[in-house]
Amino acid sequence: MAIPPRFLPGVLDGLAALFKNGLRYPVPPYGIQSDAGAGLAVSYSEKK
Amino acid sequence: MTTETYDWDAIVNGLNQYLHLRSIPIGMKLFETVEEMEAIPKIRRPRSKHTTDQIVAQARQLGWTVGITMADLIGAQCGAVIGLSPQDDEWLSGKRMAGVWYKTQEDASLHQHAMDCVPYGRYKAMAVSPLTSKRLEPPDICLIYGTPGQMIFFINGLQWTGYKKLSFTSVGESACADSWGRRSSVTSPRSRSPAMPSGAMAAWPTTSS
Repeated sequence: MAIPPRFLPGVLDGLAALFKNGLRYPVPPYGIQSDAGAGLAVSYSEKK
Repeated sequence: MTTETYDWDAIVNGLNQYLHLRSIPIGMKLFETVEEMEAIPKIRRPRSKHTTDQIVAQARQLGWTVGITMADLIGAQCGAVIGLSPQDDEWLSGKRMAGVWYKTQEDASLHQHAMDCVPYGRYKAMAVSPLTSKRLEPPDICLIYGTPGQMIFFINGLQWTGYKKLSFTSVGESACADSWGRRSSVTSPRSRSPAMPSGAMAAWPTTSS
């Protein structure tokens, strides 16, 4: 990624927010036959 | 002269914390005079001809601060992308790629015309350096190398607020034109897609994982 420096502070704010929501690198592998609801129910659920 | 200041230690620590980068985040900067480039503290100067890819890789893999002029580069293709060599009729003709990278010279010329390059004439030198060295203050662009997984998280972070759809280009061979070459007029990030095997960065998806 080639990016002007002024974008980087915002990227870090975003990464911190995603991390707080459980969206973190590396993403655990999801088998093609596993229950998708286990993860998606968290990532896409309504905010409580 | 710019008044931009950044806390590079915090930025790079944050990137490493969230993305687990294995490649050193670096900056790239163009200079209107060779003297300006050579005035950078602890600047290294190549002793033989290199591709621009190799120079970038020396910074991101070895942590070096390296400065070049056109005289340090192996060919016009490398220099033209960053505005150190003219995008003249000979270069635009695509003769050197015809029948090798592209079936006809017309195809090769279309490729050359499609490349985004820094206009020739203003700049005489370029330098790369790890962001945490704080020697380019500030760089024109930052180069962050990672796996596809790391890059999509980077993009997710960028889009967390003030969402914008991002579009990326690929000219194929000479893919550095898609990122570094667009630097002079950059208003949005440019992702460098996996390069064709024209230099050290050809193995981008695997070496920087």
